[in-house]
Amino acid sequence: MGSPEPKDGGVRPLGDIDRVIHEPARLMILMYLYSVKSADFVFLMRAAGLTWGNLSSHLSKLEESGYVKIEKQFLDKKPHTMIQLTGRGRKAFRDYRQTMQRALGNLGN
Amino acid sequence: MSQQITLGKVRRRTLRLINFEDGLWDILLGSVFLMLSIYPVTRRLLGPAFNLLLFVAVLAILIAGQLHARRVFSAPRTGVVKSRRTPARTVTLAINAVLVIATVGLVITTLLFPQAISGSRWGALPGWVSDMGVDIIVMLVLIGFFSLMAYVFGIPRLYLYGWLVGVGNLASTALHLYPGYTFNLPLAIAAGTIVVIGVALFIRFLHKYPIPTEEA
Repeated sequence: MGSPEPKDGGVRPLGDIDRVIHEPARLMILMYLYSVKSADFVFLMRAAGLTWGNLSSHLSKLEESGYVKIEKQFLDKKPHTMIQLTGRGRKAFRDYRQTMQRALGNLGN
Repeated sequence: MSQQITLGKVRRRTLRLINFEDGLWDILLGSVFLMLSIYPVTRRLLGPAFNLLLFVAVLAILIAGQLHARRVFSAPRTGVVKSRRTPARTVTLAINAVLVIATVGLVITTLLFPQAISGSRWGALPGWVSDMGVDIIVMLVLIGFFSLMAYVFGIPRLYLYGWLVGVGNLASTALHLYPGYTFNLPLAIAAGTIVVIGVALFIRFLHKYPIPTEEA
């Protein structure tokens, strides 16, 4: 859906930024999930440097927004929580990247 | 966060954390080159057919052992990741497989036939070059291959491994020029060093990444 050039010279209002993604810890979680098919709770905890409770809280928020899908599986008879981005989550992350690149790219003009 | 974070760095960090942090890959690599260093000796003792069977069997055991150790020790500590199948990844895996097979094949060839693949073709060159020409190329291939891996994956110790096995292999085949020399000691020392580094990394990994427990 193409939109005409805004009157402000091409700087898309930062108010349009997706605030669910814009939180640093959730952004980090989504970056890792974007680069893989799925990852488990322990990996995200290690990679993003979050505590168990902290990660759980952020994942709940992302799941409420429909950006991630959380599946409880059994691996070697042990419970395992696998997390993956939904199609909506991937699109939202791509849109967020483009918005930030456009907004920050115009800072120097 | 003091350094710039990009998706490329995230992918590399994922790869490092899952595949190279625990030192198991280093132990496997060093063990394979250790086997290659004694390949000519066991070949003389067992004959070519049984020696090849033994090599393949031990290799299968080493790989199975590494996968099992990863499941038991590493996965509970660093987690589980399923990679996305993209065309680029498939091509990368295929190229890696070809390079690994070619590298192992070259090393075996130079260790088993140090004289047969040099000589008359290189007649116009000085004697030591015509004797060692292919071995020098193998050394450069090994150094280049490991250096490329080090750069792509962001793992500096792979630069060292390239030089260790490259120079180790060259020194081993050079010593074969002396009659009576049978054991590839330089390559064995290089391989042993890699195994020791791998063991040290594994011990550090166990301490650095305790098995996480769910907070109350």
